This record gives sequence, C-alpha cells and structure tokens, in this order.
Amino acid sequence: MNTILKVGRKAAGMERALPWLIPIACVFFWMTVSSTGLVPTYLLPHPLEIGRAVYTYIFGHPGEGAYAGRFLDDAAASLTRVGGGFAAAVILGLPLGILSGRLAAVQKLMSTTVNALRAVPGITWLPLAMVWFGIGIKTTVFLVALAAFFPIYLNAASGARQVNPLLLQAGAMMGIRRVRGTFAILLPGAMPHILTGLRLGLGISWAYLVLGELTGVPNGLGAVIMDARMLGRIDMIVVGIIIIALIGRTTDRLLQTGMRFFFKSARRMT
Amino acid sequence: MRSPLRAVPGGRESHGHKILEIAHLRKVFPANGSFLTVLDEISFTAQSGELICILGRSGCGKSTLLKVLAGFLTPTAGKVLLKGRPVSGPGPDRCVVFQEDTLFPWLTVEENIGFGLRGWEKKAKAAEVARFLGLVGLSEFNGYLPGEISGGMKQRVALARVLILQPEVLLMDEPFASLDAQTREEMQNLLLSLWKELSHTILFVTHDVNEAVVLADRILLMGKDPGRIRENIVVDLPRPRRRESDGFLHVSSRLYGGLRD
Repeated sequence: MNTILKVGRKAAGMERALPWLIPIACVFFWMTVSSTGLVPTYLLPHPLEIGRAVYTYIFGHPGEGAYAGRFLDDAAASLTRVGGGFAAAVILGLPLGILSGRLAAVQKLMSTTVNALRAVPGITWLPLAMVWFGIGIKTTVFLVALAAFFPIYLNAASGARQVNPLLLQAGAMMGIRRVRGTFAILLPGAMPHILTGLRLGLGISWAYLVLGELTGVPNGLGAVIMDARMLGRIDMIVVGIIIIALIGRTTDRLLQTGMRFFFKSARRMT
Repeated sequence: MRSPLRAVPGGRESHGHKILEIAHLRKVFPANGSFLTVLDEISFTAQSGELICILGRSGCGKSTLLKVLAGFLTPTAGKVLLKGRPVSGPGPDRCVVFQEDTLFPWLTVEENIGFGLRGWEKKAKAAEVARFLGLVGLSEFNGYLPGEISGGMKQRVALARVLILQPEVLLMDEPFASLDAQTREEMQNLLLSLWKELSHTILFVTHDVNEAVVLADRILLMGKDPGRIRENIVVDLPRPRRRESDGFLHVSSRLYGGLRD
C-alpha cells in the first residue's frame, strides 16, 4: 500500500516535471554554447544577459535605458490588438460556422468564398490593410481577425456537423424547440471542436499580431522586436520572443480555464 | 382450459379508453429512381395502459413505424391520432427510448433526467428527479456522467428521463437489443414493474420473440415487403411470466412460426 502510494506520488511528480524538461534542456544547452564561445554573443547573447534585459524591460524606470520599463505599455497595446481581433473573429466565425455546419444552404453559400480566401496567405493582406487602415491598431486588428476567423469558423462548422442527430431528435421528443435546442444541445455537443477552433484562432492571433506590428507602430511586443533589430539589440529580439511565448501560453491557458469554468460541456468533454 | 393465445381481428377494448389510433398508414421512400413501400395499410388502436409489442424481423419497417408515431417521419398516407388529435412532429406526449445511447454526454445522470422538465420550481424539480432516480434504481449514481456508467444503466436513465415527462404513450425502439442477456432480462423486469406502478401505454418494438412474450399484452406481428401487420395476437398468460412454462413456449413457438412464413 505504502509503496503504491510512493510510486503514485513519484509518477505524479514526474508528470509535472515533464513539460519543463525541454525548455530547461534548451537553456542549459544555450548556456553551454554561449559560455564556451561556440556561438558568438553578437549572434545570440548569453542567457544571463537576456535575464538582465528582461528585468530592465519589465521593472526598469524609463530613462535608464532604451527599453527600460516599457513592458506594461507594450503588453497592454498588444493584448488590446489581439483581444480586439480575436473577439471580432469569434463574433463572426462562431455563429457562421455553426450555421454552415447545420444548414446545407449556408454551407454551399460560404464554402467557395471561405476556401478561396483561406488559400490567400494572411501576409498578402498587409499592404492592402495598410492602404485601407493606415499604420496603427486598425491594421493589426484587421489582420488578426482575418487570420483567426478561419480556424474558428471551420472547427465550429465541423463540430456542429458532427453532433449526433439522435441527440437533437431526443431533444425534440422531450419538447425542446429549435432555439433552446441550439443552446442546450447543439452548442454543448459541438463544444470540443469549438474549443479547438478557439485555441487555434488565439494562437494564430499572436502570429498575426507580430506581423501587424512590424509595420512601424510605436508600441507593442512585435514593434519591440522590429525596433530592436534596427538598433542591433539582439538581446531585445530574444526577450520579445520569450515574452510572446509566455503570454501566448498564458492566454491559451486562460481561454481553456475560462471555457471550462463557464461551460459544463467544456469542463466534462475536453 | 383457456387458451393463452387468441388471434383477434381488430383491437380489443380490454383496458381503458382508446388512446392511439392508426388508420391506413402508408410510408413510401424514394429509392434510386423508384419508390420503396416500407409500410402499407397499417391500422390498429392502442388502449390506454396497454403494453403492445411490435414484433418483426429486421428490415420489416417496425422502426420506421415507430418513427412515424413519434413524429420524426411524416406518413405518405393515412393518419395517426393521439386522443383523437392528429400527430404532427415530435413532442413530449409521445416519448421515445432509443436503442442507441442518446444521453447528453455533458450532463450528469440527474441532469439528463431533469432535462425535459421545464418551468418547475427548483426544489420540486430536484425532488421529482430524485423520485425517478429511485424508480430506476440509480439513486447513488446521480452525479455520474453517461461515459462513466454501463449500457444497462444508460438505458435506465433514458427510461427515467422520458417517464418523468409523463407521456401519453411511451415508444420504445428495441431499447434493450444491445445489452447482454442478463441485463436485458433485468431491464424487462424493471420495465414491467414501472408499467405496473405508473400504468403507461407502451409500444415496444422488438425482433426478439421471447422479449415480446415476456412483456406484451398484445403482439402485432409484422411481415416484410411491404411492412404490414400480419397478425394481432393477444397474450393472456398470467404475470409474472415464466419462460419455461407451457403457455410461454406455446406462444413463442407460434410466433417463431409466424416470423418464418
């Protein structure tokens, strides 16, 4: 009994450590190649130097250095753009996706257009977006919304299509009409797909955020990276990458936790 | 000695009043360019409180008949009257227990059972759900999800969630066909005891002769191509019915014969 418990605890500890194994190994490898001079620091600065740069970026006072203390402003600007674009994609993509998954007419109406637009790489829209919206938040939000729309729409559609028709029949015979059936049966039934679409959409939102911010906006995490390249601050490029990775992972977690908190179907089926 | 078996030409006014009336029902499906008549000239009536089994081999249209009665399919011709009113579309007055698992996987056992109860005060609803949980013997499993319980238990939940709506007619589409023999027998006994207690009108579709003889007041034997009611057999065996009794064997061998022709 005791041994089983111990083994169980060991296995649980192992499971918690496993996701961090690769990042820790990478940092270790990085430290080795930097310390030994195998990779020159003007190509890739030493991890400790990056650590110092992160610290100044987040906790420093403006004026101490080029990027000191700018983190909060940049993060807030980027989160607003991602949030705006992602929200627009959800508001359009989710209802349209559900409709096209259930109604053949909507599916027929949408499929050619969606697939043609989907074939166009998002980056191709950048010049046009700049002409339309100028440089600034609107261009970025437009690009993010456009890119996040497709995974959200497509997954919602396939989720709605795959809901067992017998569940809808069962609802109908229990006197559940269309509107309530949509919220009480269709959406929960499609939830695993919907959640996948939302997560993919949010992930791609961060990618297009950087693309949008490369166009010369004054603030934002993507802007920092572009700015740092022109100033030759390799350390700040790496800092930008790391911070986007961490914030991206955090928002993904928040999305999942939030969905699980608010929806039984997300909590119990994913 | 009274014969346990009688073939009666029409329905028999044995229980209460006439609750379900089916007249000259016909269902035709378009099938690769031509038409396939699945149901033809189906006429019968069900008295309230009656347990009728619709017995037939696979492909005879018995499930299609049930779907028409449930309102999932519209008949090509003929009429279905529930308490004298024509049936249009599915509704909680004619509830179905399906063969397949159709519980909502994101709801617990008790949430599934309470799903169709609307406009109830919270406490009253909880008490009603608890009563039906008890009736199907699942009181301790109230918080389980469908994915965590066995096939037999799922069918108990499926039964409870429709019984709680107090339908005029309970339609059962081979509900126990995918269960193992022992569980199936348990479920048949459960259904009979619930029927005794709640006295619902039940239409039970099956291809299993023994199941029909265990359950039915009356058996409608269906033939194939097109699906028609070939015989209307009243089963007068005393309950509880023992499968080894002479009367039981007599009825079932007669039915086996009927299915073969």
